[in-house]
This record gives sequence, structure tokens and C-alpha cells, in this order.
Amino acid sequence: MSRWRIGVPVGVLAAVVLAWFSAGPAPVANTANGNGIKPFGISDVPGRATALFPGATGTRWIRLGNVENFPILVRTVTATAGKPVDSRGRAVPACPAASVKVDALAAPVTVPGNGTADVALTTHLLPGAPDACRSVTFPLTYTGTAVKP
Amino acid sequence: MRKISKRSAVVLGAAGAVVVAGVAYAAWTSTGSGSGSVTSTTSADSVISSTSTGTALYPGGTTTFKVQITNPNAYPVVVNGISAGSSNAVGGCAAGTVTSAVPASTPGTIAAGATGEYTLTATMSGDASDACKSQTFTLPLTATLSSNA
Repeated sequence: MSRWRIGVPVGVLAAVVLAWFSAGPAPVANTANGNGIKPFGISDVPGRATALFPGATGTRWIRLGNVENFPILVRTVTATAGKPVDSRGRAVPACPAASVKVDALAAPVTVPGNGTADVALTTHLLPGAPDACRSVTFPLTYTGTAVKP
Repeated sequence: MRKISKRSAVVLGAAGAVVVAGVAYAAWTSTGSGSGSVTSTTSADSVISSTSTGTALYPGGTTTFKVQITNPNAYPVVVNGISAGSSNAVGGCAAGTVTSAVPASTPGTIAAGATGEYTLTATMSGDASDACKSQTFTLPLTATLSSNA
């Protein structure tokens, strides 16, 4: 008698658990880094950036690269500007790295499996940038996060 | 109302734990990284030219004349100031015979690729020699400008 009483709720709960898993994200095979999605790449799209001047807002197109064979949803991308250099690659200490700001990715972007997606980030050269910031290049470091949709 | 037995409660708890574990497992995440750059534009010098010579001067007399300042840059500029002017020597008339004062203000913004016009006042020295009759005087001027985006 007691087995029957127990058996019914276990069967119901098992069904609930199975339903939860089927409604959630599909499991994926383990990848090269063991238990998650391989890191995705972030790089500049050549030639697609606005030359900045004080107070200007421009765009910096970047390319998100997905080496997995399934789509990923890139949720965040941020960029940090480093110390600028002149046309000969020499440091320009009078131009602070903080003169440039790059906005974070405005909205999530889906990158197809084994594919790329291009997206624009908004860039700013602050109004008070000194003369030393003319004709310089600010290196950017990108970081981002993604999930399997 | 039928009571839930102890064994049923244990099964309920275990099943709940499985559900929680399933939710945590569902989040497959990844990170991305990369590098890039943005550049700043350069600046080009403006040119000041005369657009109106004003009325003919005589010793001790004054006149207004107009100058035009070009902005060859891809961004708007504001004129911070225009220097005082002093005439070059011409045809036996001594240098400095005609002068122009620093204008009290140089209002307005010159749009990218546009020009701005400013009115200056010139004065001929009271002891100008006869050699200064019927001459055209050139007054070198310098303007200082700043980006104004």
C-alpha cells in the first residue's frame, strides 16, 4: 500500500523534471576547453572606423568570430582604450588614454556557427582632448561574454 | 485530505534538488577577447584673407575692413582670437604705418569646410609720410582657433 502511495508522486515529479529539461537549452557536446563554449574572437573590421576629433562621436566596427558549430549569443562586449601612439609607434604621454571612450555593445548579437557577425561600437573623443591627441592611434582591448542561445 | 508520508517528502526534496541542478547546468557561457584600435584625425591650418579693404585712409584716419577665415577641417571650429596687425613697408612708406587692434570678440562657430567673416578696424599713423599716399597696406594677422564639436 505504501509503495503505491510513494510511486504516484515519484512518477509525477519525474515527469516534471523531464519536462523542465526538455524546455530548457539543449545540451551540447563538450568542447575543447572541457565544459563550455570555446572563446569567441573580437577583432576590428579593417577600414571601418571613424577618425575622431574632440567632441566627436564615431563608430568602430568589430567582428565577432564563433568557432563553434552552433550559434552563440554575444551578450556583452566592452572596449578599453590604452595609451596612444603616434604614426611612428612612439608613445604620446601628453595625450591620456582616457581621452577616448568606447560604448559597450548596445544589444546582444547572434553569431552563426563557424561564422562571424559585424557590429558597430560607438566611440568618443572627449571635448577636452589636448592638441597632443591629434593624429594618434589608441589601442583597444576587447572583452565579451556569450551564451549558447 | 491525504497526508504526505515521510518517504514522499524525501522524494519531493530530492526531485527539487534535481530541478535546481538542471537550471544551473543549462547556462553554457563563453568569453571573448581581442584587440583593435581607433585613431584621431589631424588638424589643418586655417587661412585668413581680406574680403573688404574699407575706405581710403589718411594720417590719423580709421576704417573698418573684413577678413575671412577658412576652416579646412572636418570639424567645426571657434575663433578664440585674432592678433593685432601692423602693416608691412610698402613703396617707401614705413612698416607699421597702419595698424589694427585685437578685436574685442570673434563670435560664432565656423562649420567644417566653411568660412567665417570678421570685421577689424585699421588706423593710419598721424605722421604717415607722403610715400604712404595711394598705397595698399598688407597687415599680417594670426588667428587662434579651437575645435568646437
